[in-house]
Amino acid sequence: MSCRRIQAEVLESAPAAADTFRLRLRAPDVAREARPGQFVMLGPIDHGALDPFLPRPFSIHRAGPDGDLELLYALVGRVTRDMARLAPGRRVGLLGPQGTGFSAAGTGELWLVAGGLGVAPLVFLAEREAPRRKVRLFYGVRSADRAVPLLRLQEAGVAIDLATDDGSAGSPGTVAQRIEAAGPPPAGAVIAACGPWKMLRAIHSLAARWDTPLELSLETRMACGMGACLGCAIQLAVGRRRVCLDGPVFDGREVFG
Amino acid sequence: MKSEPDLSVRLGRLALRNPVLTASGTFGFGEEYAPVMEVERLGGICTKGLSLQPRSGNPGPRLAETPAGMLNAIGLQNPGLERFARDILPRVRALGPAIVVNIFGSTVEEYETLAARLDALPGIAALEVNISCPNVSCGGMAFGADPAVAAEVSRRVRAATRLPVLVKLSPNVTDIVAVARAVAATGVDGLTLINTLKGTTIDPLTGRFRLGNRFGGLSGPAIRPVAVRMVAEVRQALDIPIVGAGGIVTWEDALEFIWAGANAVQVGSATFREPGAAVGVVEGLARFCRDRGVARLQDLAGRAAPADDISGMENEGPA
Repeated sequence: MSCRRIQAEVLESAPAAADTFRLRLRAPDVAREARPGQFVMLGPIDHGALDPFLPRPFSIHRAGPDGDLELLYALVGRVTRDMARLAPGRRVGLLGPQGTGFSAAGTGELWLVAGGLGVAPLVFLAEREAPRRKVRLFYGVRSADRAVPLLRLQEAGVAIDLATDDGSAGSPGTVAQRIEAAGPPPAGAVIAACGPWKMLRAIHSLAARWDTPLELSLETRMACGMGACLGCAIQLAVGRRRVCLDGPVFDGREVFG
Repeated sequence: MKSEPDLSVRLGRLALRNPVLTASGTFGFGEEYAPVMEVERLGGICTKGLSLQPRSGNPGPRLAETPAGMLNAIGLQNPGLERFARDILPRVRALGPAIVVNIFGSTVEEYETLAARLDALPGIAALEVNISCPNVSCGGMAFGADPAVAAEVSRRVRAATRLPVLVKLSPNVTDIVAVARAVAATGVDGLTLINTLKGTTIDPLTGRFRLGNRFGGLSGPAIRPVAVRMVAEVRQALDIPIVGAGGIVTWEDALEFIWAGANAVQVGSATFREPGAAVGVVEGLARFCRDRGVARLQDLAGRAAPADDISGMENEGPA
């Protein structure tokens, strides 16, 4: 068990795309242990304020050997607005790394499917896996301005297929349509996906048809992030599971049967 | 050099080395948080509500944040007595703090059977009887709302075990003192005040309830004034050990409960925010006693003084 409680120093908070921000923290102990697909609980941001009360789960977007930890998030509420305003040098509560990561077993092709902010943990996975296998990223966003630039991934040799709902960049349509057109993946390939439930279900159907192993990263509200409160437990095909410790990455068949 | 203050407390037959416990439902069975905080420094651990049979709990979402607090509707999900006894208890009894097993049933007989079965297991310091969960349709709060029914559960559990018994009361009642008095008369070792307040929240833009169960239990600092009031009212009426709970985040919050009449406290939702919150309360209480020359923390219990007319201008406590 490598989960830790620390106060992480803010290094940088910067916009990454429309309504999307990147938060870079100095958190060597957490970054060193982190595996792709794991998450952290962030908070409190302001130790003196009792509102907002709970920390929030964020998947790890990047964990460098330099001890830096990056989170990618959308502006959706009070906490994320506070995060976007964080000045360098501030300290925020951090708990992690927590949860199962992607196993991304084998050395065959790795196909990643990201819906919107679901790209956050997949970038981490892509960066770790790109040196040793062929990695493709299928990335769906509503419009071009919401796509996070992924230059580092491209430099690492990851092929990126962008799909936009409004056709403003890449191929028009959903990311599920995009990967369906590209498939089936070669023998030995595995798929890892993160995004909205509807997208995950569509990818599961494709993976089942192609007989390709699939891992899904899920998201729910959490309070403890430690497996204690059972607040994040959701009903999967195999039964009720805690997203925080039993997941957040599950086998596709565990989720949809 | 000042000597170390005495934080120990006796709640009836339950002796604790310090008065800080984790509240049931917020700390799993005690081992979940071990990687990130010093569990061994707690006075006690109230474990996740346990029933005779396993329960899968409520559909999600089970959590919703609210101003200075949160709503939960977990629905008492738990692995049931058998797995607790076989797999969990042997591990958690080695942690150090007193293990207080929180129990609930959907019939009085279930409470009774559970109490009797737990009585035979080594390593349990006390039972905490939950007659106050707002999140289940049968059992839970239904037993805590009526003084006569609450007393009946209390009496049957008390008779079924030699273990010390605390009874956790619901704040969702008209007269907390009436329930407390009826339960206290059954000879239990103490009362835990309070469980969560029943509440709900609706997304204003979609018109949807935020909890799958519609209603849930409100906890966190938002409920603290209600909890402190109930502790004070019960303390005024009864001479029985009280464990205060409801929105404690800091040692000052805990001290507020102690002045009001609590002999011990539970830290609940605050642990989600800061895993070390309960240990911080232990440290803060010890520091307070040292700084103020308080030899025994228990000497402060129930000693809150009335405000006087000029309290708004002065900054003095009753100590």
